Amino acid sequence: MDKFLSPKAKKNIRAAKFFAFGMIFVCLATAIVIVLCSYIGNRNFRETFYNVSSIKADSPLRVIQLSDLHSCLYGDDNQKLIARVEELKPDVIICTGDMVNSATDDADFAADLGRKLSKIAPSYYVYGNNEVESIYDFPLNEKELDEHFGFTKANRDETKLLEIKDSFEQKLEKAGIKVLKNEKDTIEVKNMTVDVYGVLNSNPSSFWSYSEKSFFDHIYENSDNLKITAVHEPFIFEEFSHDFWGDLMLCGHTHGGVMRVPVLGPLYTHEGGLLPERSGGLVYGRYDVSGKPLIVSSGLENKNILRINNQPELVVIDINKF
Amino acid sequence: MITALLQKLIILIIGVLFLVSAAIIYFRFKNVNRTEAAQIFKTTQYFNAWLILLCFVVTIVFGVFNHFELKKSVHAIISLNYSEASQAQNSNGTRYNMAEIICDEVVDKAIEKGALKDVTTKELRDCLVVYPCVQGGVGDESEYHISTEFAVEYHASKHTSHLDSENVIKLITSAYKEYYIENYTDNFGLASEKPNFDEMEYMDIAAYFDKETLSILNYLYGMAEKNNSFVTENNTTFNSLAGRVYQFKETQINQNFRSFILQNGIVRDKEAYVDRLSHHNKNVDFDRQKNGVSFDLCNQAIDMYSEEMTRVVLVPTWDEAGKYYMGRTKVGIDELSVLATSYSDYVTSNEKEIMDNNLLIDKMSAGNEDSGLHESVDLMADAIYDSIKGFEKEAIKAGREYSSHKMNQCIAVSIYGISIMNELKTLVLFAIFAYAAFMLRVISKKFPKKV
Repeated sequence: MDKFLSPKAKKNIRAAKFFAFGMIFVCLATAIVIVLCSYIGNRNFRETFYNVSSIKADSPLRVIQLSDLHSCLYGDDNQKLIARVEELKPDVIICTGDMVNSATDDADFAADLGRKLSKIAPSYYVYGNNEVESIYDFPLNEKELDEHFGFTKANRDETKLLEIKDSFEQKLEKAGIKVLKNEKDTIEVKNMTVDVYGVLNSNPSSFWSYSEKSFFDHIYENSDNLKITAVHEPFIFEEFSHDFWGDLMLCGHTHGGVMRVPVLGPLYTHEGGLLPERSGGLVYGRYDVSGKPLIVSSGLENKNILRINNQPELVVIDINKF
Repeated sequence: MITALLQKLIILIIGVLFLVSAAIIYFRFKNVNRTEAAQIFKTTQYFNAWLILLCFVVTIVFGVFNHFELKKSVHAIISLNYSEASQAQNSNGTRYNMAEIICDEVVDKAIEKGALKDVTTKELRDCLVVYPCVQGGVGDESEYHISTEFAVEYHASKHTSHLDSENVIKLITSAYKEYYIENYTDNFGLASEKPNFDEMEYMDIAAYFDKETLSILNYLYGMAEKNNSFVTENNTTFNSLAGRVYQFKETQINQNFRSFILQNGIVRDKEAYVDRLSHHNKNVDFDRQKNGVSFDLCNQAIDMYSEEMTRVVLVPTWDEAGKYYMGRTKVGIDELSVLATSYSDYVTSNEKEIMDNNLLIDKMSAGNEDSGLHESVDLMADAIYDSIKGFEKEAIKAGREYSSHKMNQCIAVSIYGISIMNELKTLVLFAIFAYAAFMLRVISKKFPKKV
């Protein structure tokens, strides 16, 4: 074929080939540099500050949210992370799940973290899918739960789920961090009464059937209290509309879409697929849910090499009167 | 700082290349005739794979430095949402001062809130600029403009380059909001700790209830003065709530609680209480005597004035319609009369207090030791306390609702970081400029040095 081409055409083809390979090489080199830089950058976490208004906050209140640590470390025994949390002087600390990869294997890791956090401020722990999967023998969706307890819609009793005791919870409670399994805890902070509620089964199919009563108690009892609702997965807020979920909602799970592309946003989540925010998914940052702020943390996990333009984060929320 | 240097260095190199190449072409232009020059431009291959690749790499490197440089600058817009803002006032009616957005107290607070390290207040403040978003003119009244939006810009310096710019501006605006709320907005500080009733005398408990209800009433009347037509979600107004609190104070505290204690002479420690009242009565009696003497002295002084003197205190003056009349001004004699009246009132009030205390002493001396009665009073006290707390909560809730309605979120903050589109525009322009420089270099080489 080449013999039919003129020397000029051959030269042009060579130039085009060179250009194509050159471009591919430069793009690949750039991609490798970006991945490496992100990977190195992800060794450290950043702080993301949010300002939230609630007329119930008579004085400024600071909440620190830790999420999706997945047994990762920042310094020996997470000293770096703990020291920073302490420096930021939180009034309440909330861990929104997946702090460990396995509740059975990493229970000591979680207890150690809980012990250190609870020395700084009142601390709460909400289970994520990783904890749930290693503690319960079955997924916490409505069908499996009904089958496990032998319930039908008519005789369902949501307290049965909470009667299942686990050693992980005991270890955490012993360490001083309160585990919230479809329950609320009321604390007095700076002359304010704050209700913190944690959802155990954030699976949308079982949320109302196994959490409704406790959730409504949290929402409608003592409505003057500042209400914080902590859930690992944000799907209940995507699936259901409700007039009031709380004065502040906290979630994790999505890892901020793993990779974030400028203009396009979060690239992928397991449940939302590609470009999940485009299909209305709650993936990262601050959203408005029934007029109140929902904060989805990208979490603190730092081992994923594909976590690009998405540095692990420590969420710091300042709640003010206006 | 190094990123800024490298970014500028790249621009300098490309710029120098462009200028030098252009200068070479200019100076060597005389070595060729017009046709040859046109031929050079015509035969040049403008699509050069090498140059495009080089340009691409240089643009990427420039883009990285440019990105880091842009990240050092960020700005926020602070919007004042309450109605008084349009008159350049704070929400409490005092004069608004935009300089407070970056005052030392705010910057200090931001450093503390963010636990920022290795930076002083001055170093951080030097990186901040604040200005109104819309500035009117001063030449003519029609050009005056009161801005309700203010921009705060942050440009990192060498002292603050280690800080995350976006976090710094968030902290500054958050600290300012806190500062503003602390200094210029309503507070709902009604709540107080419950005292230990077991250690208090019953009449003291009644006095405590009086004080608490009075503070709620003052709060509600104060709020009603601001807006007496405001209706809460529960369809109450500040005045209607105050009416209920007042009614409660009169019936439950004064008529029921206090009367019950007095009628039955219920006291925890009879001797101590009676002693305290007797001692108090002695003090009040001293006051009564002192006020009585002052009253007599005023009367004596008035008697000493001659009638002639009282006549000359009439002074000519004019009214609003401009008509003259003789006005009486307050001179010595009037002042003394007013003083005498007030001393007389004090005496009466002192006598009343003594009589009340004597009544209390009489009733308590014949004290009732019936434990059932004590229990009833304790129960009444607890019930009244709970009711007062209920009113307190209602008052605070109404106040909060009003404040929230009036303040309309008070201050809204929008943060503006790097714009990806602007960054892309810069990169495209840079790439075109770089490619032009490279092409000029190639073309300049084709021009002969000598004829």
